[in-house]
Amino acid sequence: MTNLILMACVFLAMFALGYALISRVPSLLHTPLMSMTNAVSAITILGALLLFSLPTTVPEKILGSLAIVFATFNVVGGFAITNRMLGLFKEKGARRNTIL
Amino acid sequence: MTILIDLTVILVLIAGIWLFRTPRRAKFGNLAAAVALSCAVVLVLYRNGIMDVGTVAASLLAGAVAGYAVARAVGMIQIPAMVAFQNGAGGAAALLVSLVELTRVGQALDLVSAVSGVLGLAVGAVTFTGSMIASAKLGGKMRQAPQILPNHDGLVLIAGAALVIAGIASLYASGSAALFLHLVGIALAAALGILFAMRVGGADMPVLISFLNAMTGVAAALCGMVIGNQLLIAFGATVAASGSVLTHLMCKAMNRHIIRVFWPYSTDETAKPETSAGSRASTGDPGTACPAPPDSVQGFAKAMDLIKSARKVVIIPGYGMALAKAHQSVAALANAMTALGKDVVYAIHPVAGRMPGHMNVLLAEADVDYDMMSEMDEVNPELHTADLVLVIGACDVVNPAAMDVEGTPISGMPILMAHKAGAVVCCNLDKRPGYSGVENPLYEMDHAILLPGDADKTVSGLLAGLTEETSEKATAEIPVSDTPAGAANALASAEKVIIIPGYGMALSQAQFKAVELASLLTKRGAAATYAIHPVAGRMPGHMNVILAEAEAAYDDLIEMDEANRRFPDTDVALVVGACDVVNPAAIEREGTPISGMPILMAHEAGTIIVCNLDAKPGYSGVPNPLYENPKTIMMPGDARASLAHLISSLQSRDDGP
Repeated sequence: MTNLILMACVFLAMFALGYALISRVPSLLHTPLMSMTNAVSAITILGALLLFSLPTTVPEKILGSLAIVFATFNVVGGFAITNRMLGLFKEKGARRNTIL
Repeated sequence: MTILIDLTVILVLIAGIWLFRTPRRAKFGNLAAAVALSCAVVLVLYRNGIMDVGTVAASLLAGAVAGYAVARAVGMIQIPAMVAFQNGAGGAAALLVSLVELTRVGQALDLVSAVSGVLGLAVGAVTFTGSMIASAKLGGKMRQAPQILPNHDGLVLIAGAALVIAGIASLYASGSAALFLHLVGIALAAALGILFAMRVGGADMPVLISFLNAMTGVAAALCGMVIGNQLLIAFGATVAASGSVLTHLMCKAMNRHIIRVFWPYSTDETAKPETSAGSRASTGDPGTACPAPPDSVQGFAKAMDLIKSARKVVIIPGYGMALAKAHQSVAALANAMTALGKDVVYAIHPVAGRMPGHMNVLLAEADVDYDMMSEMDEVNPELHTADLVLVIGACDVVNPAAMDVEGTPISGMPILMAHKAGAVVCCNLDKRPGYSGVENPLYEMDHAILLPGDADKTVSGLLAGLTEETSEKATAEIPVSDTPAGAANALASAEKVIIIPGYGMALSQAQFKAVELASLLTKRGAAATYAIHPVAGRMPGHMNVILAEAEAAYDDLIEMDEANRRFPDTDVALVVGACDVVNPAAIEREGTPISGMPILMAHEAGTIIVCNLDAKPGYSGVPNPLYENPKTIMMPGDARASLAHLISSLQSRDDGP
């Protein structure tokens, strides 16, 4: 029971903190933000890795490695795409090419 | 100690989010979040160890390579589809982890873990199928209009109720009975995800995608509860918060209740006929031909005058700009106006585009300074002082009916007050209402001019008109003729040439001639490069190998993104045995097999020379409108022969008088 309360507290505290911080992100950066948090949501990779900390049967092994593939796809792809996107944002005077 | 380390990792993640204030710092923020996640992985590996290192390492590698490759290849207009797809992968991972934990042999879960597991299973499955549907809709692989099955609400209710029953029953079952109930639960949740996402229409996508984002966060946190891992719970909660903030912001910006978005018709019967009538996006499909009304030439001239005389200009982009791929030309027009000393800003409505901040990313891609982009609240009080508002493919977000008329689907929605400006020029496809189906009275106002048609063409026309007037050295048009001689002429006078090889070049073994032509052009003082589409050829990097074989320098091989930046100021694009990868229908038309595929924008070059066997469609079967483009010169036949012909005519020119 104490465990449940602890977990609920962690969830609520992080949710509140995240909500407060993210409310202040300018709309300019919403797409990169969503792409970044999308990568963070692949934290389920921890769960997938933990499956392999105990002896596994063959079906468990298959499902577990699929979970790792999906989660890594999400995390690497998410961070890479965010980085690429943010690289496109240029400040005045730092443009890559002048169109005129 | 453990808690301290965990806390540090969480703090790094928070710092990462905190850095999302300006684009430059956001890059570090992204890095910080990546570091936090990597630390969490290392911690888990260190604390718990791994039994089957081989399988784990191989899976990690496979996922990482696939994720990185896809992230590199995707175009900016495709970002929403990509984010939805990755989100689906995250949901699938949560689903699988919960399933294995629940059914693990010789492991008794306590009630909290079991309940979390069942919930994680359901949320993960809903997120997975919902995201896949969203991704298909956003990527143009599925019709964007809401799709409603007969008795849709009934189906949702039945699936939902059955899911709850199966979930509760599985808590009391054991062994194979429990496994069976879990599988039934997964199937029901998957069906629910599909039913849920399919009836959300195109313009409501920002809400759906934000909501699904929050759902993966919840699924991850539930996973954490099953295994009692605080890091997982903390990270999941952050994502859930982020998705919730964005869902809330998007709903607020559209003045729509979330229930209305997900139950589009059942709660608002009055909006039914209107909404289904106007299910096209703001400016509709730029692929459909639109006959210009007789007064359009006059309208164009008037718009030109307005642009020339205006001092303060506000540009309002909408999803139609994205559809028409007009952001590059819009940015060029804005730069031209700025160069003339005009004050130009972009006004971005919070729900313009298909996900939060989508317009900002598109404009950033077109090299627009982000300090030129203003939010709705900043711009609205100033709009009455603007001389001119340029609306590019936006409709509902500038529809005054939202304020003036009661009882429409958009009534009460905050809008950009374009109508308050001195004059309004709308570069929209047509007058049809936007997604909401509400007629836009702005088009009928005396100080507004509608320039119907493809926004990219309209804006390019305006830009040409403006630069022609202001600079004496208007770029000399390359004389275009339909004969191969025209092709040789174009090449002879070209300064920048991009060669686009396709599998047809490999088939006719024309790569040697292509390289020969390129080096001839270089010798004549032109810059010749090769634009390589990621899917040109039959395997990744195929074209690079083939050109390397013909001794092309590898620093002349440029990737699609770079090439697409160069096309607008390229004199000649030479297509050699490529069709689908240069087919503009992929970006202009919806519902074709290649819709949404990133292409090389050969059509943006001054002249296009096509050395293909014939004018038949490529592998996709979609006819290529590039062949009908007035700037295109067709050289049908064997590509090797066509190239040899071009080389000899260029050489004879040099040898001759």
